[in-house]
Amino acid sequence: MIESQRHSYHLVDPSPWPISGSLGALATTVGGVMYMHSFQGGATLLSLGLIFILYTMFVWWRDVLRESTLEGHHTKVVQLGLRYGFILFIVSEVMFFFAFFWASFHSSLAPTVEIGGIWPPKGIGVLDPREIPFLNTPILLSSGAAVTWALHAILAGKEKSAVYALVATVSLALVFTGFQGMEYYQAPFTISDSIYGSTFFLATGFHGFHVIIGTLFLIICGIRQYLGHLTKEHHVGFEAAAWYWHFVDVVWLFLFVSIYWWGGYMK
Amino acid sequence: MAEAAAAASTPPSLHQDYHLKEKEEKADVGSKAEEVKQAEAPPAVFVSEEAATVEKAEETPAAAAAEEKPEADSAAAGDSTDDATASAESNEPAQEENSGEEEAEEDKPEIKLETAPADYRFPTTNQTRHCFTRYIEYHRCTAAKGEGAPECDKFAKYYRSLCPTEWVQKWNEQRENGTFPGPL
Repeated sequence: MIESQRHSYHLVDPSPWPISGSLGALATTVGGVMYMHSFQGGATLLSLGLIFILYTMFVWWRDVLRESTLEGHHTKVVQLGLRYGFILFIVSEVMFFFAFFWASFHSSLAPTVEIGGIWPPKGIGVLDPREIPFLNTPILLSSGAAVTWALHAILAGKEKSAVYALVATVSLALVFTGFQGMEYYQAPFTISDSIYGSTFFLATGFHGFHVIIGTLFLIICGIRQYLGHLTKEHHVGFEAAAWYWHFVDVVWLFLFVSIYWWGGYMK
Repeated sequence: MAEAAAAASTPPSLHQDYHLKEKEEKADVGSKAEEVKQAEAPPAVFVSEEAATVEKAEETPAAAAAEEKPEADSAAAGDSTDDATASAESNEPAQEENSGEEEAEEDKPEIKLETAPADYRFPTTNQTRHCFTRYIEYHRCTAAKGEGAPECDKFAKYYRSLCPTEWVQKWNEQRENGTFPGPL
């Protein structure tokens, strides 16, 4: 089939995963609403939907991996399309976080009378930005540096160094997540403690969630590097993971400066 | 209770509004502040001395010299032609009110209607924050200078002018319970 093809575009075979993913998403949303309104079977439908989505993700990406690594469908032009697609995905993620920063600044720049016109509101024991958040900043930035090391190792064809670099990247990522979890656990306020808690945990929580996704992405890349899937010419998956990781890094810098430091500043 | 009071006071104030509007058309009151004063005044209260004289001064050319000077230098010129027709239609209420104002001049009832002065920290139409800040300033003042200190009276006057009573009651309760969110 490839031999008869006169262009370098990837015409995909029919796949059941788009519809299975859609059904999983439907079950998740309906189940989520049912669960949150204490309907019978809500939790079951929600879990079923999530399992369906996770299964779809697994098998779909398995197919993509076969198409690229084993069948060689990811030509230069296909790789270009994938890169464009991933860049657009990150742009949409930027907008997603923009909304949470907007919510945070909306609430903190002109605090309402209901919270006494002050930010942070009275009684909120803010986290000291010079402690764990400041420690986490170089950890995440080092992780970003390590992923660049991995990229250069791949480009230089040094397969072992690339694995080491990815292990370092993922280790630093896990340390970051561990510290964030620790800080959440001992935080003196919760997501239901005024608009401060809401905006703080919404923004930092979604960042943490993205760190976890990025870490999983990097772990997959590390395994694929170990298995020899990534080459000098074919490493779009790794490149996407690295971009994603840098994006998560930049979001953290904004979180640190505006929410932890400026937003937690007390006279 | 507040609703009932509002309902009771509404009909006379509407009536008053009707009369004031007619007069505004004729009298051509230049100053906005005076208009506000008139609108806010309860039925029995008359406009202060200055306002009355200003109206008189402007009413005379409006009624008499409307045709003579169609291109007068002031903004009153445009209105004066309208005034001529308006006064022709309704002369009587104007005279009634004039006589009322003269009485006011003689009696000098000294009713001064004031609200909090404009504060450049709060330039927006929404004065919620202005009210809240004045409330806090009053309580900070009494905390520093003692309860009933005369320096603090102005703050009390300001916040009572600006704040809805319900809010003040709520904040007073919050202060008693120690749950007031503001920086006292």
